Amino acid sequence: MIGLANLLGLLGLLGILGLIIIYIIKPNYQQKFVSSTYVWKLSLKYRKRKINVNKLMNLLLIICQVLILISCALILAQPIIRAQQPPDIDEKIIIIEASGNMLATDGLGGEADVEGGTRFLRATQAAVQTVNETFDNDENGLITIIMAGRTPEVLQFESGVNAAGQPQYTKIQRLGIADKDNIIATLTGLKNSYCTLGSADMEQAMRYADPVLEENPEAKVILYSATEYINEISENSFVDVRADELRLDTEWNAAILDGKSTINSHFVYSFDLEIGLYNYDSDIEVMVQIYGANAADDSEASADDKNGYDLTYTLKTPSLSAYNQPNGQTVTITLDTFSEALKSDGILCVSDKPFYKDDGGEFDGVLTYKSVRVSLSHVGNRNPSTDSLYQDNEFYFYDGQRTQLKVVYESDRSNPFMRSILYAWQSALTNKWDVIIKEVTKNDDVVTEGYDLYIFEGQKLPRGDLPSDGAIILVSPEISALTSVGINTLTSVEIPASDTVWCSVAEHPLSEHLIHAENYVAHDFMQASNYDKEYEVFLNYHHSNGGTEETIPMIFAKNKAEPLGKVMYTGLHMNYTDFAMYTDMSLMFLDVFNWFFPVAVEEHIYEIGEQIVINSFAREIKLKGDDIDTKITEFPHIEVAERTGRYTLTETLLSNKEVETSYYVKMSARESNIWREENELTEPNFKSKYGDEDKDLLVYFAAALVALLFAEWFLHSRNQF
Amino acid sequence: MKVSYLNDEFFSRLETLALNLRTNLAGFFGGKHLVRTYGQTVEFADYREYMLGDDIRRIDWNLYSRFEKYFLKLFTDERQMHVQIFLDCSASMEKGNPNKAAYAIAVAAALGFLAVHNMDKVSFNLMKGNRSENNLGTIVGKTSFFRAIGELQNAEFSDETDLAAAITGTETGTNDGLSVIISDFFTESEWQKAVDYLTYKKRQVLLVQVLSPDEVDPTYSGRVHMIDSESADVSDPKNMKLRITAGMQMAYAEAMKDLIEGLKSFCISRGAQFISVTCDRAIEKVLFGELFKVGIMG
Repeated sequence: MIGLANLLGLLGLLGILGLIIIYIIKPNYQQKFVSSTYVWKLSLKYRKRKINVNKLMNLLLIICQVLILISCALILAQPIIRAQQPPDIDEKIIIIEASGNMLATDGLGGEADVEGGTRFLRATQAAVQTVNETFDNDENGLITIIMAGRTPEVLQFESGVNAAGQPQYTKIQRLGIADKDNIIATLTGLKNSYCTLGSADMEQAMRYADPVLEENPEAKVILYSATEYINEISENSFVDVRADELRLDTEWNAAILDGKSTINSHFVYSFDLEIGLYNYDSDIEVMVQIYGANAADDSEASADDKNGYDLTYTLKTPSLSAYNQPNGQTVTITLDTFSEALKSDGILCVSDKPFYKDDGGEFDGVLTYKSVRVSLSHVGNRNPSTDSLYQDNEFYFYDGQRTQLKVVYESDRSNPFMRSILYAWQSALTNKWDVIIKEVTKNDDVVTEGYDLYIFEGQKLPRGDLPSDGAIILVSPEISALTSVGINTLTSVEIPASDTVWCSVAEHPLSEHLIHAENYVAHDFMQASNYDKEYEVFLNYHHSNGGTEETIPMIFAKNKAEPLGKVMYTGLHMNYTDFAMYTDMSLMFLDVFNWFFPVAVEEHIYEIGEQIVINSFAREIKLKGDDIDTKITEFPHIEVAERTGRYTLTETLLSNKEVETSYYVKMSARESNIWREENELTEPNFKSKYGDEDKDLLVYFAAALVALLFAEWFLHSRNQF
Repeated sequence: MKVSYLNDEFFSRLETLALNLRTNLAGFFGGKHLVRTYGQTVEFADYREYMLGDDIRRIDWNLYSRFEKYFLKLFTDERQMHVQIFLDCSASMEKGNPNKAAYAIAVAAALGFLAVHNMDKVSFNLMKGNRSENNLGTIVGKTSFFRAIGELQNAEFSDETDLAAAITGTETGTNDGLSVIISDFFTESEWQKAVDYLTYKKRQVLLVQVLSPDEVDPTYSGRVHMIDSESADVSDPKNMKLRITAGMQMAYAEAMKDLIEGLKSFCISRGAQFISVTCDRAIEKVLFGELFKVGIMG
């Protein structure tokens, strides 16, 4: 700031400056009468080249002197560069959390889709009020609204159409009073359906606030969230969390957070259930309904046993104290369907059929089931349907049933290696498939129908075409051709023992575990040549006698969802190769099985927001749920779990048998916690374009003054010569 | 008050110098002006063979006795020379320094004295503007000379002078003497034409440049608005504003040197003589020193 004395000094210097300028502009010339200026005029020529420099030096000198005066004046003025100040306006950044817990109702059984019916709607109302207050306080105020859902975004409204007739949208980012009506209309138009049942990405939401804060670091960030953030909020926190405005004391929630089914030591199913209670003290009664327990398979079904048993169990949690407790209370309860355990645990079972054993005795336990529904039946003396979130009051299990897959192994040679592979399939795939194996030996008739997977080895081959109702694996088939599957020439080959032999792999899903390929040795095999281009070779056999080298495709396969479309060929004779000695072979065949028969989904329980990878061994798979009914023809297909509910995938085997797979999408367990308290809130991270401190220029001008004084001295000394 | 060097003492000194040097004087002012034509003087010039009709009294009998052929002696002719003195009466000759005008007049008078002392004719042509004025006529003898000098002292110096026009417009004899141009030669006029004209007239030409000390070595400096003595008014383009620095003074000296060298070299090229004098030196020393150098006196 310039003080009075400095101001006067500045004015004085400026006055002197003015005088000097006047003096400089109008230089005094002494009049002198001379006899003649003739010689002076002549001398100009000699001096001409130096006069320009003189003029320049004079000019420089003048400039120097002027600058010196200015420097002196500025030093007296104590100049500073004021840090650029952000605009002085009332600006708000409103972030509305749009996650699952924001759908919490009042806990009194009130409607969700009425005004203020959920936290989310209360948040939008509060946001409207904030917008009105902002513009009432300051006509130049600015508003930004960020919706923090699973995929955060800046809220926008339709502002018109473009030339092509497509709607145009305006983001509510630093909008002023001119857009007030649009902002309010957009906020009031938000419904509960906007919210995800998953968790909000608060970090990304804050990133949307960063550019606004860069423009105006004074902007206030208001977060409408029901989560209490404690401890880590610093005094300088940018974010004003308005949880108190959204939470109601009457809110409460009982939830089935998660479930897991296991086959226990008694070889029957047991179900672990994680139950949560929030802002209420009570025990919780949980009902477990098992459908199709121990249902018989189709081939052995009787009229009575075909669909299995529907069982209903009731469990009770211990008393939970969660009233006004941050993050409520959770407990895990277990339903062990082993009959003796049920009796001792005092778990009530209500069923339309008594416990029984196969021999007519008591029911041992649930060995298989079609589905399990878990639901909350009572929460103390309250109906669970009156809790704040209903979406987490149910839970489903779908992994109690495996699809039966029938495999026939037909060989004229006793091959323990292949047999071990088959039994390895059974155990390795027990969670996904019920693999039924039949073995056809040398003296048995060749089986050509009724199976999902045929393995033909050696001479055990059908006389005519190969079966078309299942996948086919050919192991060293001793035949001249298999034209029905596109292998047109087969030749028995014997490689001299003196030849060097090895194998190599080609990149293929089935060659992943063939890590010892270069060590495989074989001298007798069936060479397939002239086969369809659809086949993909993934193991090549090489032999060399020191001179020429020959490469023979040894294992190839094709995988099309059509009759005779799923075929794998290997020319290796299991008795004449060490390939069978490596675990590579077992793993390869397991890969072949999974390749031919991928499971539709890997899991049966998904959470909102998770990716569901859908595969099929068929040409298409039908997906059906509460809000979807579609066919999927391209695989793998990735579906993102957006809504809770039950979904069923239906596909048809080559044998025309329909296979159903179901899965359940549940609400995020984190969002069931409606009384959430967290330690850390992601804060905006921005670099303000405004400086923090004023910059003092005194030193710079002092340095300039010294330099100018030196320059003036220098110019003066030069000017004398 | 006008400065004048033309006093009795001045002429007395000149007389003394002229008498003392008479027998030894050569050059134009050093003796009789003998010309190459043959005349009746006693100065032997050359021989030629006798031709029918020649005066037998001129036969050189010594040669006859030697060669047994008749040869005539030839003698040089003698004429009275006319010294024309052209005095630049422009303002630059006086306004800058009154001594300069008086000095120029004194130089003119001195040269005129030497002429009349040598029994030659002299005329004083005062150059004003683009013509010469000779109100004093052709002067012969010292009596009329001294009478003319009185008028000469009253010469007015003003305006500009076009040397070429003034000199070429004057009637000059051919091959009959010396023409002296006394000026500072601070002029744009083509004085070279005047010299050429005079040399065409087979006259000996002497250029005398008269300068003041201030003109040779100006001592003033700083911001100066120089008013030329020959300028019409303050706004005349001849006037100039100049900031005179040491460098400027060096440039002036260089220009003056080049001017003098230019005059000298031109004169050499035309067979004329040139001397440059400053009015702070004694005229006698200048005249006799410089005139000796250029051979006007030998």
